[in-house]
Amino acid sequence: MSRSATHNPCAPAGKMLTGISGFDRMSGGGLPLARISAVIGGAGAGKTVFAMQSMISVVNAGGNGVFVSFEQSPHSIREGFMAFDWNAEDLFGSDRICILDGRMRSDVAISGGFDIAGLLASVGGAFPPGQASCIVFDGIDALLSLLESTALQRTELLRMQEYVEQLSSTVILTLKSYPNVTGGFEEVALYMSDCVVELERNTEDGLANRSLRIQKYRSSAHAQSRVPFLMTQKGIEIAAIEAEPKQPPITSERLSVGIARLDEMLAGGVYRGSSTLLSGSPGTAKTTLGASFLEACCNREERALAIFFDENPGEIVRNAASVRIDLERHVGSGLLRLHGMVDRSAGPDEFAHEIAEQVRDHHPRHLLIDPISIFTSSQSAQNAVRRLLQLCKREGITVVMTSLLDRLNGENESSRSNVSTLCDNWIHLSYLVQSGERNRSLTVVKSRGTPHSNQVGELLLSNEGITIADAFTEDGAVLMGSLRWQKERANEQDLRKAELEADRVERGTIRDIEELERRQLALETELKEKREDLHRLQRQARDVSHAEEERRDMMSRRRSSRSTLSAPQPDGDA
Amino acid sequence: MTDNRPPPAAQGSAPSSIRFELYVAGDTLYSRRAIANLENLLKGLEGDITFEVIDVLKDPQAAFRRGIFGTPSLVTQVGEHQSLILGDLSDPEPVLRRLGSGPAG
Repeated sequence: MSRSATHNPCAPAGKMLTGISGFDRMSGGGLPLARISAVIGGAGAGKTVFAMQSMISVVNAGGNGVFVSFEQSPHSIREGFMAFDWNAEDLFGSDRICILDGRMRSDVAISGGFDIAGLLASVGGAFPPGQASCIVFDGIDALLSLLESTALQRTELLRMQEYVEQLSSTVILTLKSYPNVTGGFEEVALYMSDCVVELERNTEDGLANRSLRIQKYRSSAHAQSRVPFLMTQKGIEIAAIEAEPKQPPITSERLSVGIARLDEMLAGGVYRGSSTLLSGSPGTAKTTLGASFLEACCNREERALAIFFDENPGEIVRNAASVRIDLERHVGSGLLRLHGMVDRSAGPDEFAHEIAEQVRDHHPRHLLIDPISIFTSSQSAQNAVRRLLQLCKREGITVVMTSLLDRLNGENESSRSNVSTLCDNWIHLSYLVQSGERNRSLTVVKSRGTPHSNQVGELLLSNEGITIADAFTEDGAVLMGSLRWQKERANEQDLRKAELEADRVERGTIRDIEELERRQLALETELKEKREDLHRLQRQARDVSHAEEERRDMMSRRRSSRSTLSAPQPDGDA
Repeated sequence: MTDNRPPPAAQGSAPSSIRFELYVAGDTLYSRRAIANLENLLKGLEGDITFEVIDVLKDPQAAFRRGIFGTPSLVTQVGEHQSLILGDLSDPEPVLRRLGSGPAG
């Protein structure tokens, strides 16, 4: 990365690329051209490397460099240049870099006052006038401390400033910082510098953490924050601002995690480019789930990278195979890279850097980090994780991380590295001990932008693969394992019984209906008969009364005919 | 004094031969004081003495070759032994010690 940047001489006007790409971005193009810059910091902070790397960048762009060393021998400075992947040998071979020894040797006596005009003259004599593009005064404090008074130190620094202005060279001063000193030459050095870069080295958990800050940059916009950096084979690398700011691609594409039921719980899987945390105690099958995710990715012919801190890639492949996850095939085809970082003792920045390097190298679309809890809850580790996740977001990489929970923390689900807040999805795995069994349970704790299931599932690992069974809840308790099985059986029996019962009732009812229909038919017939009877009876009655009337009529007619023959008689005999 | 400095000029002189090179930076107070102080010292010395004043502003390459990092600087060469004294020589003691005991201690 440094070389590609150094070969590109397109620094903005008035700037000089340092070849430390992160710094060049922070400073909007590098150090001020033809001006004095100061690099300050404690011992071992990386001041000299910063200066060397800047010089290499200038020389690679076609300039010459003079490196004046006030603390180390020219030999060790040369070795320092060679120790990095800068091809410094070629540059020394072509006399493009000149190292001057400015050390006060023990056989040098001091007699009376002196100034540094001689030093400036020596620097000027190293290359023909106007040809030294970059001059480094490394450890200028060592020289200045020889001067008797603060007034003299100030005078000499101002002499240097005047001289540099004539030369039109870019000058880098490095000096040890003593935070509590005021009014000394440090103040003057910082005052006359247009740009002050502060390097810091802290020790945390026995590991060195380096960081960098642009303390001042006259008339130029610059990043204000302190950023961590690493010392690698390429020199200083600032991971935090490594990549170009890029709008992460937003997609609503869902990706399967390799287990149908879990995809269902996540309403179709995880979003492409999202990050998922799998947390759980030891042995809750976090790694297995991770392996399942990897296989699902590779089955779609997409590249995947896995970082393992606890097990070697070989063990991962073997263990995954026991639950029918075939990683070997994908490793063989080159789609999948398993990168083991077992027994590595390094700081979070180094870890993050190595992972980022792997990502850049393999170009995966999916990343598994097992476990992410290797990063502690310290601020620098948190920042390292955040940077990693940001890198993945930018690149649209889907991330799955496992996180080991401490036994002591018990049910505290917020994982050790507090990654849970950064992640889009969080799946928690735990044990449920019940009736002498230990069963694995799975809960989707959080899933951004997804109507996810809030149920607890039971994770089943077998040589047939991974499945998730719905857990039964009974009186608020979750049933798993053989209890779940029993419950399932009991439910089945109940169901069968109910079915039989319903059948029986149905048949009975049908019978009743048939019976009633039969009875209805009979009653209707009877009714009809009765009505007919009634009809007949009424007719008979009418006939009878009719006949009676006729008889009476006849009687009366007969009587009247008799009376016409005799005298009318009373109806006494009627 | 530095790695990039060429080997001492081969003079093949007798032990008594002394060569002085005084590096100054232009005509400053330090330069004048140094020259005056050196001349005073030379009065008390005997033998084969060469004395040269070099202005580094006029000849920066000479300063570069010698690895001068402060001015005035006096390079003394007594026989094969070379030493460097930094400053305006207002204190004659270090100069005399070097000349008297030969190789610098």
